[in-house]
Amino acid sequence: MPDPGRIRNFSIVAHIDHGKTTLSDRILQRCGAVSAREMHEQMLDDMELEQERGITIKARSVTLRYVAKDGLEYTLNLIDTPGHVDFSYEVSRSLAACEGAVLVVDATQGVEAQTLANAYLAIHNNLVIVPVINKIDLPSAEPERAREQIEQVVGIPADDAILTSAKQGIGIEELLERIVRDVPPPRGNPDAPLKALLFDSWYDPYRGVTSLVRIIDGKLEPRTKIRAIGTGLEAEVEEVGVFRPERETVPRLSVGEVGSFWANIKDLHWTRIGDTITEVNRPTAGALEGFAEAKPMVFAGLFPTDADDYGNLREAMDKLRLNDASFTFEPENSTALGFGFRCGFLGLLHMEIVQERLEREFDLDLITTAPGVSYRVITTGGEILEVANPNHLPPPNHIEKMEEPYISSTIITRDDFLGGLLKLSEDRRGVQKSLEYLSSNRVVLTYEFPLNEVVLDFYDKLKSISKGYASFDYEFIGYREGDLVKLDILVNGEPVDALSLIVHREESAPKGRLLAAKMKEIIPRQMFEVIIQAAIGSKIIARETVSAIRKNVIAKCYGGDITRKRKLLEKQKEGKKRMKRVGRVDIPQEAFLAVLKVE
Amino acid sequence: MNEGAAPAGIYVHLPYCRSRCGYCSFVVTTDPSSRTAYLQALDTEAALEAEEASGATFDSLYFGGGTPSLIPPADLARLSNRLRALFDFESGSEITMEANPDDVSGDLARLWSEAGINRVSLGVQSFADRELSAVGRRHDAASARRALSALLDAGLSVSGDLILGLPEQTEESFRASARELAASGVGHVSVYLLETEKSKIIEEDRALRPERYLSDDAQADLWLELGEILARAGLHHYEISNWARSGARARHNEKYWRRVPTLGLGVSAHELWSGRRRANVSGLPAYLDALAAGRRPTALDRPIDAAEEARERIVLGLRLTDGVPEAEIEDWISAEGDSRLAADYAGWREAGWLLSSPGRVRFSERGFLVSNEILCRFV
Ligand SMILES: Nc1nc2c(ncn2[C@@H]2O[C@H](COP(=O)(O)OP(=O)(O)OP(=O)(O)O)[C@@H](O)[C@H]2O)c(=O)[nH]1
Ligand SMILES: C[S@@+](CC[C@H](N)C(=O)[O-])C[C@H]1O[C@@H](n2cnc3c(N)ncnc32)[C@H](O)[C@@H]1O
Ligand code: SF4
Ligand SMILES: [Mg+2]
Repeated sequence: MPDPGRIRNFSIVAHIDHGKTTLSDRILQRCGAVSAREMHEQMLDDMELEQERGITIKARSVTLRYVAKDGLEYTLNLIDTPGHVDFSYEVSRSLAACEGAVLVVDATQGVEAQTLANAYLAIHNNLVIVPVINKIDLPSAEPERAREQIEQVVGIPADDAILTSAKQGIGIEELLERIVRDVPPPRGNPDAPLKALLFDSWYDPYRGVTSLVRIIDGKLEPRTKIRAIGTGLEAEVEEVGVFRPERETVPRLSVGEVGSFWANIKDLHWTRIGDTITEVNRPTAGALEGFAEAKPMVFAGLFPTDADDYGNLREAMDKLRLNDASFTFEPENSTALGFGFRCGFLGLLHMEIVQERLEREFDLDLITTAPGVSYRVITTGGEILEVANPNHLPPPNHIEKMEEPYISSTIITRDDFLGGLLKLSEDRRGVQKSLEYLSSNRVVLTYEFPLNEVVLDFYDKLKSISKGYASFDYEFIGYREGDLVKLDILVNGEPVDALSLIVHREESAPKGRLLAAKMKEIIPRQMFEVIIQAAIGSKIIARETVSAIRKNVIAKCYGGDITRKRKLLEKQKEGKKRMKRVGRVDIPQEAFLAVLKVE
Repeated sequence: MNEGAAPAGIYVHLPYCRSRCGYCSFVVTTDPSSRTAYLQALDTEAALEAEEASGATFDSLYFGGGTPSLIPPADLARLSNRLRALFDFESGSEITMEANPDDVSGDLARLWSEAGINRVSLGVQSFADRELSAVGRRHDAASARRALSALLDAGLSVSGDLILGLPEQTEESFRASARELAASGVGHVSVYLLETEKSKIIEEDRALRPERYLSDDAQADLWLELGEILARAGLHHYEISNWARSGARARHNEKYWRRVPTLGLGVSAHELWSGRRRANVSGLPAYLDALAAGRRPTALDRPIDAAEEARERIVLGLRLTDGVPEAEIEDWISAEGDSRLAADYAGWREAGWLLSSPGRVRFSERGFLVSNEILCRFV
């Protein structure tokens, strides 16, 4: 059992791409957790999607042994976290398992929006912050500037910030010593009843639910009968282990330790991330505070392309939710797409990642419908409804008023892009709250926006206007009244429910026209004419026609070679099978996301 | 083998061409050096196939290519005699060869006729010189006219090929080609819609210079008009791409649509025999090597089970204007258990893509044009 006095639990947090995962690589290496042969870049980004996109999506913890300068061996539990806004929930739950946070700032970029947001999260969790200025090897590095910004913008002392190059392995030893010196060891009572924070979980096909915990009090060992306080469900522990980064079975987990357990749990709802685990025989007095539940910002429908996959999709979602508690889902029924789910996500990237993970990890083929936000509707009868699905809007004459979610956002940028960003913000109905110079050429802007104006492409636009330099963070601030209408798309006269949107009245006409035009591009010619209309209520605001296909024929089957023809026909059949049939019309999957492709 | 059944056919692939045409994706070579070895290999292959075909009778032989008219007539005669010695051909068998207009002369036509050839399929493609040179044909319209009369004068049964959709083709030029071929005295006409998928040059050219091509819609209209032009000239539509005067249908090609067994000899040749579909390798060296070693050059050999056969009957049979028995389609649809297919089938009939004559279902003329949309649902 490691002496709790020699355990250090910390997360590495930063703005996206500032080098957290690369820094983790160096720490793993320094602690001898991986051999030179096994070593590769961004070791902890072990999900295929993370490697493809070069970003961290899931926080990942690893237990390391470090012999410090004082000659003693310490156990370090490091959690590498993602930097993208959409995964900030990963940061919150990681911080809840730690006493310290290593705040990484890229010396060439300085403090950015998620540097601030994540630093505040750490401060809010009463964690000790160890500031690190990374990428000092780059010629454009300005460590002094970064240091000033940490002090002025984040508001924490940074005179002794550690200068590192994760790429070249500079400053790693110094950082580890600082962690040992400054991050407090966990406190907790080894003899008290078990109290553990469940902060990650996933499904193992052989062993059932795998739960990752941080032990606060007591110990967890095989044959302990445990209970999840939130759900009240019980199980018996079979095996406990730690990740170094490969899983290693250990006899027990004690105070301050981070590790996983298996308890032959097959019930995917056995517990939830954030729950407290205790002993059945000696329950702990109070549950842990856990951490604030993620509030989904963006909602979209997810439907199986093949209706027979509905059950598989449900199971896949339950399993994925074990691993990502920040997305929500509830059954939805669409006339066009059949049975599926209305899902809530933290942002558009999160939506894409969830869809991709479901498709890859569970071998499904899915259709995503237009993402939107959740509105609050006050009916004439005085009822208040939360509406995340345009088709659940009451009829207009039953609506007293509608409110839409607003966010407060922080934009940090170099001042040469200010003009473009101000224009973008005004176009998105933003209200400026403040504009402050951080230094001679860096500006922090605070704006309030209707969330709907930023969920789709605001981030991409911001990045392109600022050539990637501006950063952006936001939080929900409440609902405000808006003049909103439902925009319907009709295909051959029939409204297609899965294509409906809620939009601002003044934007409805241009949006309807653009959407109808986009649909015309996406829907292939069929054997009959297809008419696409956009409508508000009974008023048609746009109309497009996809003319009937006239010619699709293989004129020749030479010399009795029918294999070639057969292949061609099979390809066409496959193409058709992947489309959704609405009435008589075959609609390709991407049509349901057409709204993302209109300007 | 096929006693009591319809007589079978033999296809022989002769891959030699003087040059490659812009649109062509067939297995051809412009290097004549292997020709002697190739003819030798065909003999060997024929002997191997003959063992398997003993007992079967045949009534059609088809020399396709490539350019069979490039093969010296003496070699062609020898090959044809050898095949007729090895396989049991009925008297009055149809013996067809493909010919390119630039090769044909009165003398050759007589020699072919003496070699037993009684039908020639001539690659006219168009009577507009602009179109012919745009795809690298070696002949002009005048030589196609001369070739047609030479063949007809020699008493051969003649078929002419046209292509719709060639670069530089206009509505008027296509109509003119169709009218001229219909009036030329041929008993059979094949009109193919240019397939661009397999020819990179044409596909790229069409993307780059769309103005050189008739739109798909224009081609569709012309194709319907073509049917009328040919019908007025007494040529009846009997298969998607084929029109014939009474009694002049291509006996050999009809076997493909009706699933009558055919053997295939030569590089890349396909066959349907004893309930199996087989294909030879499509590389010339591999073909020659295999036969030099006395091995069959098979690249694909697949049994056709009952379900597959039913599917083929529909997909191939619907290419014919007499269509397929209604019961075959309906059995297939109900066996498939796809409710959408059943509904669509009703819709296709209602919309007139499919027509029914007593007990049979067939494509309408405009149905043929979109036939892939429907046929792909039956694979
Ligand atoms: N030159 C240089 N490049 C670095 C250094 N640290 C990281 N990088 C590069 O910066 C990029 C991002 O590094 P990551 O370690 O993936 O950054 P991250 O903070 O984990 O990113 P997210 O997890 O997506 O937020 C990669 O291309 C790294 O090679 C450094 O010290 N010097
Ligand atoms: C196998 S070719 C050989 C005939 C002969 N060598 C000739 O070129 O005239 C038979 C016919 O197929 C047609 N054909 C060839 N390539 C084609 C294509 N890409 N699209 C449509 N028809 C084609 C032509 O009409 C040609 O006459
Ligand atoms: S002559 Fe015929 S077979 Fe030869 S390349 Fe031209 S079209 Fe193809
Ligand atoms: Mg990372």
